[in-house]
Order: sequence, then structure tokens, then C-alpha cells
Amino acid sequence: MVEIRTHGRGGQGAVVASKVLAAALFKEGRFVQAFPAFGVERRGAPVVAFTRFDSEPIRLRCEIYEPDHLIVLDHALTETIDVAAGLKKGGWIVINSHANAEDFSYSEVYRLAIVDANEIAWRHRLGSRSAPIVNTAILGAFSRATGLVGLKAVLEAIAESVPFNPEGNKQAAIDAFNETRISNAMKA
Amino acid sequence: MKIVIEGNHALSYGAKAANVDVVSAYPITPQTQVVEKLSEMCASGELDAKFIKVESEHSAMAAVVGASAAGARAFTATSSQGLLLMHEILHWAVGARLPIVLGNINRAVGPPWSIWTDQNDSLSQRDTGLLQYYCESNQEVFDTVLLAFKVSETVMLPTMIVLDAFFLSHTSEIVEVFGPEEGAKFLPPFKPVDYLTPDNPMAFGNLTSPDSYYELRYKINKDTLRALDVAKEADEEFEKIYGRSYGIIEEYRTEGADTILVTSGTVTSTARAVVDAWRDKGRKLGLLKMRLFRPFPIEDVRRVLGNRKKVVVIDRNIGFSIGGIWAQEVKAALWNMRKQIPIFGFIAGIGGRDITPDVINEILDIADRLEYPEEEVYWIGVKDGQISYSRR
Amino acid sequence: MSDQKKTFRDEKEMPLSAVSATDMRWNKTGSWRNVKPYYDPKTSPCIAGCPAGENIQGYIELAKGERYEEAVRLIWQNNPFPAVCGRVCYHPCMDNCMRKEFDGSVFIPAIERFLGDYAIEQKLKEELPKERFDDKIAIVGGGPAGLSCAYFLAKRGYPVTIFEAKGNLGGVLRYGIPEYRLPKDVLDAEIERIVDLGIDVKTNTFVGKDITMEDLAEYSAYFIGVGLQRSRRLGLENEEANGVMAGLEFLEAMNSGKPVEIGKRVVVVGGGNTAMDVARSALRMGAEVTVLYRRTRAEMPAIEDEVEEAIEEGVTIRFLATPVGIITSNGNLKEIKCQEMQLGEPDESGRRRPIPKEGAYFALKTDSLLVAAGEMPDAECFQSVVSLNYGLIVADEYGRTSHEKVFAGGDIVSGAATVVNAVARGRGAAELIATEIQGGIFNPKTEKKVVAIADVNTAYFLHKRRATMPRSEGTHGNNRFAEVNLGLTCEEVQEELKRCYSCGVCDGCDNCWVFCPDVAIQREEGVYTIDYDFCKGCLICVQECPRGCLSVESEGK
Repeated sequence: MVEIRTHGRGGQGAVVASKVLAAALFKEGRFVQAFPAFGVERRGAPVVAFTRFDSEPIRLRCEIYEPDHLIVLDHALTETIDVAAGLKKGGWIVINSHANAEDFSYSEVYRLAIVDANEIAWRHRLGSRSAPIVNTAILGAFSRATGLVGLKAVLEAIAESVPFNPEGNKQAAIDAFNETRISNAMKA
Repeated sequence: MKIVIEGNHALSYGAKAANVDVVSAYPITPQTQVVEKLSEMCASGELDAKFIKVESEHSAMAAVVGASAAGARAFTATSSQGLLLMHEILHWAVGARLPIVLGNINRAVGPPWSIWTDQNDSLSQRDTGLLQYYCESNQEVFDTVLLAFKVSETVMLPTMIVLDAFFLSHTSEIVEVFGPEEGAKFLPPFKPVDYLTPDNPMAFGNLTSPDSYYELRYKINKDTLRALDVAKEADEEFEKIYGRSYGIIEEYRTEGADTILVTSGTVTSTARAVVDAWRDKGRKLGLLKMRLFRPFPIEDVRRVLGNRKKVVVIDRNIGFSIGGIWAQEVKAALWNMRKQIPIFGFIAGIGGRDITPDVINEILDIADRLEYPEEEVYWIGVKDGQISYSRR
Repeated sequence: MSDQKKTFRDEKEMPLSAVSATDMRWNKTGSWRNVKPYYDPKTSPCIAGCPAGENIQGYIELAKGERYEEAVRLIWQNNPFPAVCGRVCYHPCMDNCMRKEFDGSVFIPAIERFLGDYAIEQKLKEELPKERFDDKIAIVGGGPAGLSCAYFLAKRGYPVTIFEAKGNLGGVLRYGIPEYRLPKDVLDAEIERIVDLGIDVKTNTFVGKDITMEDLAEYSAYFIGVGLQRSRRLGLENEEANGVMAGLEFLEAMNSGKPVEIGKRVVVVGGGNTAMDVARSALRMGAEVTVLYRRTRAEMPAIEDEVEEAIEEGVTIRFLATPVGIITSNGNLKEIKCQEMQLGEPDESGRRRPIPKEGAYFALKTDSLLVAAGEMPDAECFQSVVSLNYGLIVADEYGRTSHEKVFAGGDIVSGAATVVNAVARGRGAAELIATEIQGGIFNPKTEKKVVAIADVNTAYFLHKRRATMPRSEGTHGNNRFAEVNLGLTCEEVQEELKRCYSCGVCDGCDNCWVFCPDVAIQREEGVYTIDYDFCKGCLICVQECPRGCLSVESEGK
């Protein structure tokens, strides 16, 4: 079983990202589960969502405390929250940022994939300049970095799940897939 | 068709598969998506049903009571305070013998305000006479809508389908869904004997003297008991058509077990994983999943638990001073067997506190250590300066 | 469904829940009854209070539905003068109104006036009689009594001739009531409508001078409605002095447009409507007016509203005062010596008798003294045919005198009374005359079952303010002689109409039908009936009828 935790802010689409990711994994024949860390969602407030997938039916119905991988929709979150808490050794951190890998001080036991999803989202007029909706772009980056889900399945899931501007969203995922910067693989 | 949907939408799709005629509901977190989806379905014509907008849950329930009395297959959904507001009409639906199906998303009752899960809202409706199913997965939710209508319309009593807030209501997972044509293979059209119609005016729920009221209550009890067999038969028929079954309870790895863990709702799923782990370590642990709460499956519970060394019940609810409600029911069911089986009652997860494998392990460790419970009820994870269990 | 009661011996026979297995017709709850309600429409108290018997509730209901023409024609059945009476009547209807103690009586005269004016604006005409008779009838006096009698006879198809001593029809309406209370064009319009029925009018025709009693005897019948023409005198020395004038004479001069002079300071004597009219007219001529009245305000015979308006306009009323001497200089009025009064024991009129306060006198300097202390009859010319009593003609309330062909009504019979009384007596006499001529038996329907306050369920009344009558600017401008009360707008009238409770007359509110616990009341096309097989005599219908349309009788009589 693979467990992925997504951190974002209300309005960025973290919950939808977890669902679209599950839908994409389902298309590839996995058993999936996606759910938000239940709270009152407020624009701008930190939110967390979870995705599990497995080749067997999933039994755990609790939150994810020791994720295999992380998706971070806003690099500013890393300054206020220990987003990497419980992240398993060798896990991917897929993060939306314009910064470089050297700017992050994550333990060398993690792998880092950086994509400027804000820029990509705005390029496709997803959300607004001040609050771009980056969830579909980050999934392209996740696909590229982890290889756990194919871009094709991600694009199909986006087409089915995103009611507004599906083409722009799909293109954002494709751009992110191509523009993701993979840091040095695990040093350890 | 398999799709990835959340538990709330599983209820909506279930109502569609049951080809309901009337839906009336009032939105409340965490039930809102049930209503949203159904209203969309009614508006688009995807579901040929009348959606009645109301100003409160009391009216929602009253509307489906009216619809059902008029011979319509009627569905509603609510949660927590909304269910409590419906309370008066729940009694009415039972007394009037109206086979309404109601989805309830388990949400803790305020104050303090909470939107997170626990079972006190639905379990406090124990003596209304509603039949109650507790579900573990979204597939089970979808399937139970059809099963509930089948049982309700056979014994002419309303049914409540219960699912945990967020842990099921907002969790997306794979569900095999189908439409009303496929549903009709299992669920025939609803044809009550008596129903309201201008062609044959009659009164429902009239004043009834002591001369008759007593018998009418007797008949409710009789039909509630009959619902146990009806539910089993419906489950078997369902399996024949669709290949899935749930029973009215479920035994998981109980063969040769000394200790049985009793759970309901989504905790069951996590508990399965824990039971597997203990079995892997050679421990004789089994799991009893309680699916029907009303009617209470006394005979099945006795059969599964009657010859064990220990019974451990996890309650995501509290009957103040006496302990968890499921534990009380289990104790009551076993008492007349005169076997004095130690029954450990644990409270966990109230108000949406997470129940992780660690929490369940903690519970099992306590029960394992003791021959007999030293306390009537154990509260697991109460903050005492230690790191909380869920974060361990 | 059957009329048999269903019983169960075994729970298996029973339905799942309480559903009606039969209807309840087997249970004839009518057998439980010891008192019996029944529909019993009654007369509204306003109607009972109207001397002319106008169907006030009826025309209000029609007007509520904006059926104004039907409403005004309904008034005409009892009174041809709605525009006049809506302005000048003392409205005893309002005294009887059930709302009086609740939030103020319905403003009935304002509604009547609106309907009367509507008829004038719409130029509504009378329906001409279907039958015509040859029996000619004479009417002596073209005032309200005579015109009313003439109107109702003409409507029945009799040829009528009115003999009027003055130059125009109307009597006291024209010569006694000032323009500011009753504009002449309103009066003219209503009279014209009456005369248009084909009434022959002979003005400037004085009985005894221009025509003789023998001439009248040629008619099949005649009606005397000459009113009271002479002003009562004070009986004081110097009453002939310059500056002393009879109130009626003053009003007649004003109303006829004749020049009339009064001084700066005016004293009016009297407490009736004439006194108020005189005082307010004098005020409009620029005088300072003081009214002397020998009793208190409570005993004043004038219409309360008139007194109120007079005081508002600036008339001073000195109560408990009466003139006892007129002081002159060179034949001109200078001063009035007055005696202060106090109230003693009640007299035969029921009012407390004024008695002089010994030694209490005061003097009023004045330029004019207008005497409005009452009017007296002038009917000696009829002495040869009918009996008189203190100068008044002796007649019953239908105008029957000592002579079989002679009828009389109005003030000449009643003494000083009201316009609506004259109209009522004229109509009563017309009915009697028509019956006598046809050789029938006169049997007026006088019995009325009037709603009592206890019959009305005021719990259903909602508070609603009465409309207020807008007034003209005042007594000193260019329009000082124009009408004071300006009338309500159509919208205001509609709001006021809603205040009427239709006492005693079913308006189809459904309360009885809704409340009956035994479903014993049926409603078909707005008509309610009681099925006594099931009425158990609980009387909830009677209690819940807002307007007292049901009555109760004992069973087993």
C-alpha cells in the first residue's frame, strides 16, 4: 500500500488533487482511497488531504501519519508546518515552488521534485494571479517525479473530474510534467 | 460500472438505483453532498423523482412521511442535529408503518459544535423503532440503500442507513454503481396495501383507544423481529443477483478465536488489519462486525460470542455513566445465556478523534492483560500529558 | 366504506397501523345533541340604528367588491339622498356599530357619501317604474320628507305633483344648511335625479294662497311635509331692534345669495344644528362669534361633529347662559344681558332642566344677535282637514292623519328632528299611501332580529384605524364658504370598508365549516347547511362565527 499526503491551502484544490490522483490510479487498476483531513475548509487556511492505493482492497480508515510521499501545493507552508512529519525514508516531496533545490533544507533521505505550478496555472488561466489553482499542474509533476501514475491516466482523470476548463487543466499537467525539476536522487 | 465516489454520493446513487419517487432533505454538514447530487439528478431528469425543498429536517421527514403514505418510495438524508430535529417524525414514520429509507451521516452532537463523526446521533434514536444499518465502505452504502428498501417494504417499517462522517461520507473510493433498471431486478415497485389517494379517502394515524393501540405496538415488535429473517433473505437474494453480500453481522477470522473484537462502522476496516496482524503473531483473535443495530441480531450475536473467553467492544459513542451503547446491547444479549463472559467496553474516537491501528492495539493490549475487566468502561486516549495515541 | 362499525378480535385481523377501515358515518353523533345550532341571519346593528333602514351592511359588502353602482342603488331603495345624508346625517348607525368600543365605529357616512358622489359623477339614473297608475298624488312641501315621499311613490308608478312655496326644491336642505356643509350642486344633482322620475313640480306655490285645500282634495291622496318654518322667539323686549335676527332667516338669506349684514361681534342663541350652522356661517363672514347655550355640552342637541368643528374653527360657546335682556341705543342692539344657569332635575326630554342661578348676571356687548332657539310649525291652513296638536299635525309613524286621504310626515309631525327622519317618514307614508290606494292591507315588516354584541366574536376583529376625513383650509380664505369635509378617496374608502364586520350576515368566511369537529356542516356554492344526523350540538360553530349568523334552540321542544 502506498500512502500520499497532500498539503495545500484552501482554494488551491488539494482535496480535489487527492481525488483526481485516486481516480487516475483507479484507471490503472489500483484499489484507491482519497479523503480530506476533515475540517472546515477556509480559503487560505492550511488543508491536508490523503490518498491511498494498493493492489489489494484498502482496509485502513484513518488518517495518514507516515506517508510514503508528499505533495505540497504551496512552498510557504514549509515555513509554518512540518510538512515532512512522518515521511518515510526515500519518499518524494513534490513541491510547487520557483525556488531551487538548494533552497530547501530537507533531510537528504528524501527526494525532491520542484515545479513552478503557480506560473503554469496562471499560464493556463487557472484561478487568478493572486490565487492560482495549482492542483492539476502538481499532479503532472507527481507523475513525472514518482512514476507511480502515468500522465495519460492523470489527464483522463482530469477530463472526468474537472468541470471547468478541462483543456487548460490538462495542458497545465502536461507542462508541469515537462518542467518538473528533479533534484539529485537520494544521497543516502 | 465502477466509479470513484465519496460515501455521500454512494447514498445518492443508491437512491437512484432504488428508483425513488420522492426525495426531501435539508442540507447539513457532512450530509450536504447527498442532497446536492440528488437534487442535480432530479433536476436533470436523470432520476425521475420529485425533490421537495423544505426549511428544516422536521419538515423533510414530514414530507417523506406524506409521500410514503401516498404510496411513493421516499428517501431522505440528514445528520446529527438534523436527525434529532426529525425525532418526532421518526416515531411517526414507524407507527404509521411507512417504509422510508433515511441516510444518516454520523456526526457528533453539539455543544460544543462538532462536525466530526461519532454515533450518538443515530444510536440515540434506538427506541424510535427505525431499523438501523451501519456501513463500512462506500460499496456497502450503495448496496444497503437497495437492501434497506427491500426490507422496509417487506416489513413496512422505515430504515436508517448510517455512515461515519468524513471517514466514509467524504472518502472517495471505488464503487460499482448501476441505475434503476438494474436495481429493479432486486427491488420491485412499491405497492402498499393502504395509501392516501383522493379516490379512496382514508385517515392515517387516527386516535386509537387502548383497545387497539397495544396490539398495533405488538405488531411493530413482531415485524421488527421478522426483519431479521427478511434482511438475511434479502442479502442472499442480493448476492445471487449482484454477487455481493454483507449479512446482518459479519464474522472475520473468528474460527478458533478466544477473544472477539466487536466493531461497527469504519473502525471495522482498520480493525481487520489489526486482527490480521495479531493472527500473524499467532494470537487467537477474531472480529465481529455489527451491521444491523435494529433489529438487534440476538441469536447471531449469541452464536458468535457465546463460547468465547473474552469479548471486546469498541464504541464510538457514549451512554453517560453506563458506557458504550453497543457494549450494553451485547451484554444484554448474552446475559440470559448465563455464561458470564467477560465483556470489555472501550470508548474511542468520539467527536471524530482518529482510531488508528495503534489505538486498537492499545485496546487489545488492555483486554489481553486482564482476565476480567476492572472497569465497566475504558476511555482510550484521554489526554493525560502523554503523547496522544493517534500521533504515535 | 360502510356505515357499520368495524371491530377486531385478533391482532392478525388488524391493519398495520391506525388507518381508517371505515368512515365514521355509523356514528350518528346527532343523537348526543341537546341544543341545536341553526343558521339565522340577522340585522346588522347599523341597519337597526338607521331611521331610514338603509341596508348598510349590504352596500358595504357590494362596495368591497367595487360594485359601487349596485351599492348605491341598494341605498336608493331606502333613501334617495346618499350624497346629502352622507354629509349631513347625524349617523346613529355609527353609534350602533360593533367596532365602536373596539377601535372606533366604521366611518359609515363617509362611505355613503362616496357612493352618493359616485352616482352623481357617473350620472346614474333611476330605473323607471314598470307599472303605471292613474291615481294622482300631491305632495305639499319640497323638503326632504316631501321629496322622499314623492320619490317612492313615483318609483312605484304614481303620478306625483309637488307644491313648493319657495323658488326651489330642497326645503331645509337648500335654505337651512350652509354651502360649506352641503354644496348646492350636490343637492341639485340628487333632486334632479328624483324629479327625473317624472315628478311634476310647482314651485312658488303656497298652499292656501296659490292653491286651495279644495284643489288638493281632488288628488287621490296628498302628503304634507312642510317642515317648521317659523323661528322661535326669545320673547324679550327689544327683540325687534336692529341687529336682532332669526337664525333661519339669516341662513336662508345666505343660502339664497341675498345680501345680509351682521356686525363684527355676533352672539348666537341656541344649541341645535341651526345654531351651529348660524355660528359657523357668521364666522365665515369675519365675525367674532359667541354661542349662548343654557345647558352644557352633553345636553346639546346639535350633532357632536358639528359642535366639534365649530369650536375648532374658533366659535366660542358659553354654556349655562341664557339671554334675559336686550339693551339698545337708538333702536340699535348694544348689549345683551345674560343670566347664568345651572342644571336641575331632568325634564320630560330626559335632559337636566336649566334653572337660573340667582343673582348671577353678565353682559355681552354685541353688534348682532342671531336667535336659533328652535323652530315652530306654521300649519294652521291644514286645520280644516287634519288634527293639530300644539301646531304640529297629528300622524303616526307612517303618516296616517285623522283624514283618510291626507298623510303627513317630517318635522311638521315630529317637531324639530333630522333629515334622515324626514326621509324615513316620507318613505313610510309613500308605502302606506300606495297600499291604501290599491286597497291592500298595510303590514309593514317591523320585526328585526338584531345582532347583539354577545353574538359577535370580537376575537376575530383586527385593530385597524378609522379613516380621517380631510378638511378644507379654513374659515377665512377665499374658499371659506366652500365645503369643509372633502370626502375620502376611493383607496381610503376601500380600506375603511375592510373594517366592516358584516355583523349578522354571513360573508362565507368558512369558520363554521372549518371548525365543526364532526364535519356536520356542508358547504355548497357558498351556502352552508348542518347535517343534524351528525351535529352533536357542541355549538363551536356558533361560538366561532365572527358575526353571529347562527342561533341556538333547545332540542326536544
